[in-house]
Amino acid sequence: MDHPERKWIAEYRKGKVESLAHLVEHFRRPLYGFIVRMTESSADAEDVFQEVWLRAIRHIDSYHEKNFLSWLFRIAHNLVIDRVRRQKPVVHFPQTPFTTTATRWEDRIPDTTSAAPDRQIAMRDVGPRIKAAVAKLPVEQREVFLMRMEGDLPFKEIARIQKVSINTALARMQYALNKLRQDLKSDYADLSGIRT
Amino acid sequence: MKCEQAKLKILRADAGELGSWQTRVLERHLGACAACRHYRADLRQLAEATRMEPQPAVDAFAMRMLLGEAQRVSAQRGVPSLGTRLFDFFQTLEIPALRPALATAAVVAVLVGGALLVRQPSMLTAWNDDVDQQIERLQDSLAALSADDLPHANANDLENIACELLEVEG
Ligand SMILES: [Zn+2]
Repeated sequence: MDHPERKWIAEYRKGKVESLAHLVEHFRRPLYGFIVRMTESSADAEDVFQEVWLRAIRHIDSYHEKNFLSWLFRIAHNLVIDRVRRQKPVVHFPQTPFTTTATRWEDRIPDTTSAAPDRQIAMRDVGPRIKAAVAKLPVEQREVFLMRMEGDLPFKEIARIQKVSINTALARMQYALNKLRQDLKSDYADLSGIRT
Repeated sequence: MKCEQAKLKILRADAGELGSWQTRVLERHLGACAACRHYRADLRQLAEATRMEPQPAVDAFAMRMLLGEAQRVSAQRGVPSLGTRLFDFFQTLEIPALRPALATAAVVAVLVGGALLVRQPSMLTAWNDDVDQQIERLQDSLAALSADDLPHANANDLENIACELLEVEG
């Protein structure tokens, strides 16, 4: 089945509590990836992640949409925006690169025919700097960028969550990409994509 | 098409939001424009890089806490409403096998929805008690259909109908 979560949601609603564990595991990566870059620390992120699921559990009967992750992101958006409004400082990332050998992103980028060897080299070690650059984006732009990149949400959904037009969501994405281009200029000297 | 427009279209195309005609127009532009081809390739690499960051697994204690809460909430919840059950039923249909039958399923759903519309709230409650029976009938209707009966329908139509049903019921 293309959408295993649909089965788990149905089972969970019928009272099979264990199906919730599948849902939590299944959506951990995009949801936590979004939250951790929208909050102050990983402890904060864990709190918000937990709170998103508590709300989802309590309101699961009101879920009648096509995209469960989008629903979760909407809950997360409300929590994160609440925190921002309460003047919580936004995230600051350490500048040191992570080196988990098994999951270094640069080792896992597919080697496409369009990517010449020098382009691959240019991408090397840029991961932590992408993180740092994303952290500097204004909240709305960072949110669009992460919902799109981490959550793979369509702009239609992102616009709905942010309560703006699709054009505004697209413009925020463009601004975010342009700022990342500025910040990552040296890393991306050979990458025309983040050049205008 | 200008490059600025093309870039917006690339964003929407990568999000699966571009229709086939627009996609063809975009592909034509990309065929002739190296700058936009690079833009797309780099956008995809950036997406890849962003998604590559390792994330910690779900903390076992947190999971136990969530499951405990789910258990508690579950004990207090009643049977899901008819609309919710129908919604889940449509969502979990194995679509390719049943695709031809979907139009009639939609009709059945509309009839159920129409019936709900004209009933009194007290009747709605009675129907909710009978959710499984209603869904079984719907399943029977689906099973009884042959592909010839049903020219056009898709999963989205059904999902939309399920959503409408929920509004009717709510
Ligand atoms: Zn172009």
